[in-house]
Amino acid sequence: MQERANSAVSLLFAIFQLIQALQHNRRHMENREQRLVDYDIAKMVSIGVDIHKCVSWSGLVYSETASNRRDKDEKRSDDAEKFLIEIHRTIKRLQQWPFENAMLGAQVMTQLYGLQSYYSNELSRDDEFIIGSYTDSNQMLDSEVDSLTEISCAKELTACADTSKLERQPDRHSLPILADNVVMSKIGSWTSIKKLNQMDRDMERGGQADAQIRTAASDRF
Amino acid sequence: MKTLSKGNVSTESQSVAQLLALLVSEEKVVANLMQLETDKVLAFVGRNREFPSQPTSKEIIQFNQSLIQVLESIYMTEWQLCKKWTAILPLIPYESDTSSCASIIVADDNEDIARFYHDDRGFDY
Repeated sequence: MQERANSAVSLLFAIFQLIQALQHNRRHMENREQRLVDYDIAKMVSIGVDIHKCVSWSGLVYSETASNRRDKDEKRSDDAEKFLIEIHRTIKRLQQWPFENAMLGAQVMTQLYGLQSYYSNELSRDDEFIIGSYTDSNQMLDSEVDSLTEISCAKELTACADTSKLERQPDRHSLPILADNVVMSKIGSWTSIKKLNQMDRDMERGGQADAQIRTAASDRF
Repeated sequence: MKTLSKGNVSTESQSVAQLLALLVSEEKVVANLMQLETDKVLAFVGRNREFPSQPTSKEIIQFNQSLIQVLESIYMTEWQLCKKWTAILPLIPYESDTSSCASIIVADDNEDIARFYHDDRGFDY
């Protein structure tokens, strides 16, 4: 069963590599060919993620009946971490992808965010996955894709992941999209990000409400 | 209501074991296919993602579309397998003698399923 899950992940990894290669070649293509490539990419990601979904469901049924699941999970966490980094890169790449059809881009991103969320949740169950400990700076430096941005993002993340610091910045409404993705992997899921942003907004709203009450009270008395 | 005798339970367990063995072998075939497709894509893309065979744009598009066709076939097979796994789950005997199932599976040299059946005793709904 583990072999099959690995194959599904490898296949998605290969698709991500193909997307990266196509990014360079797309520039030299005609408009018609570019549109075909865009559509093909969307389709590949979509089906790849669906395959992954099926495999994970079957794996879930299997693990429901097998008590040795814990051991397997422990072995899997390192791979999951690497794969999550690859998902981040692909998301970042596709965020900059000039899709002519915006709906196509939105569809791909939705699928990838779902996959990212799945692996973030997988890793959030891992005790060794502590905030601030997973980022491998050397690996990021080696990457061809905007390594400097990623590192600055990781630094920003360390600041953002600390809730107390976020609370001290009332003018910060929401985190940038890229930082969102990195923060998400650190913290665990979209829910956590939403909570952080919500907390930030609530603090701000609370401050405004307090100010209004104070103004009203001073006007009255 | 018809009750199952010990012999019937054993036959049922054997059938379930055979179904499981078939499912696992199918899974292995699909896993191999996925691995082959992965190797094919990575070979086409190249280590530095520079397309070593220097294909034209048309050839790249043809490759993409053939990949999509294979992916669709894999997806359909996986979807069917997922349905089979879900359907077979209620059939797995609980608190019954599973030794017969295990013996068939071991005879098939299928370690995954053998472990599956031995571990099944601790399953808690």
